[in-house]
Amino acid sequence: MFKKRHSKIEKPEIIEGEIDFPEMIKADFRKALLIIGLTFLATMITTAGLLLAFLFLR
Amino acid sequence: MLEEILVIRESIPIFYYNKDPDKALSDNYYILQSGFFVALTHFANEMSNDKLRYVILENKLYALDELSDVLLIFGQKEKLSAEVLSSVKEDLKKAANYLNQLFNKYQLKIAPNPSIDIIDKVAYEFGEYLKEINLVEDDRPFDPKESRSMMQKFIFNAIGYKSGQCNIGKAERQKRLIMGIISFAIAIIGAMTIFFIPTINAYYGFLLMLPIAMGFFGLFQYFFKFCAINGLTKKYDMH
Repeated sequence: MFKKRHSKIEKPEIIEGEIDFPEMIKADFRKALLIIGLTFLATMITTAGLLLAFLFLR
Repeated sequence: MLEEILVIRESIPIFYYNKDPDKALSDNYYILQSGFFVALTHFANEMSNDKLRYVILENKLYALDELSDVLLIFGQKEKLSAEVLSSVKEDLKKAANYLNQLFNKYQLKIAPNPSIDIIDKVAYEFGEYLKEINLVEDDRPFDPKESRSMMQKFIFNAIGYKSGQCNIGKAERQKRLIMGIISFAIAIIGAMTIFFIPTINAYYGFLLMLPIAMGFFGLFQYFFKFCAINGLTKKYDMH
């Protein structure tokens, strides 16, 4: 205990910060991709719908 | 009580207590195990949100000269049984007495901002003493990183971060909701302009992709309580 001396005062990360744990990073990464994928899909469908409306309904 | 904690000086020593890890750590509380110094004000946000609580043994919270008698426990104090508290109390008392002696030796009570060298010396001597009187059973070299990881996992739980489920707090969600609503408003205005003014080429509708994407991005992040950018950059922000 205490053999490993530290050179500066440790500052714990609390309300915001970086994640050190690989399993958490992986889970976050998957969720981020899901949100980006859903955004892409929803954008494509909505834009296509609008374009069809512009071309054929007006 | 919370306001008074905030006026405590920046750095205080934290007891390294690992005689019985089963008692020191549970799902409901976490007795901070550490040999280094930590600033109480780092926890100000959590305390003011009532997410973390301090349990102070022997009501020594207000005695700034007797900070070494303080045991910090994060978690819900009502779930911390008297049995657990009494089991650590005696050990803590011994440690506190010795730490007080060290404080006097290095004049830490007089000097408000001790140097890192002195902090290291106190931490080292304190650790040696704990080993000497068998207050710590685990004789592995002290690893600040490991200790920090344990504490951080507990803090994640306390502030509501859940990997893959929630990495932003209320304020951050609100920002994304506002971003989504404004973007959709821009997209709707753009769409109506193109729709009702026949002279505008219909293919200008492609330009609407950007606000639509921003709108969906904001709203999805709001509903999922999750920031995709934070997720990709290994960050969390529970403000």
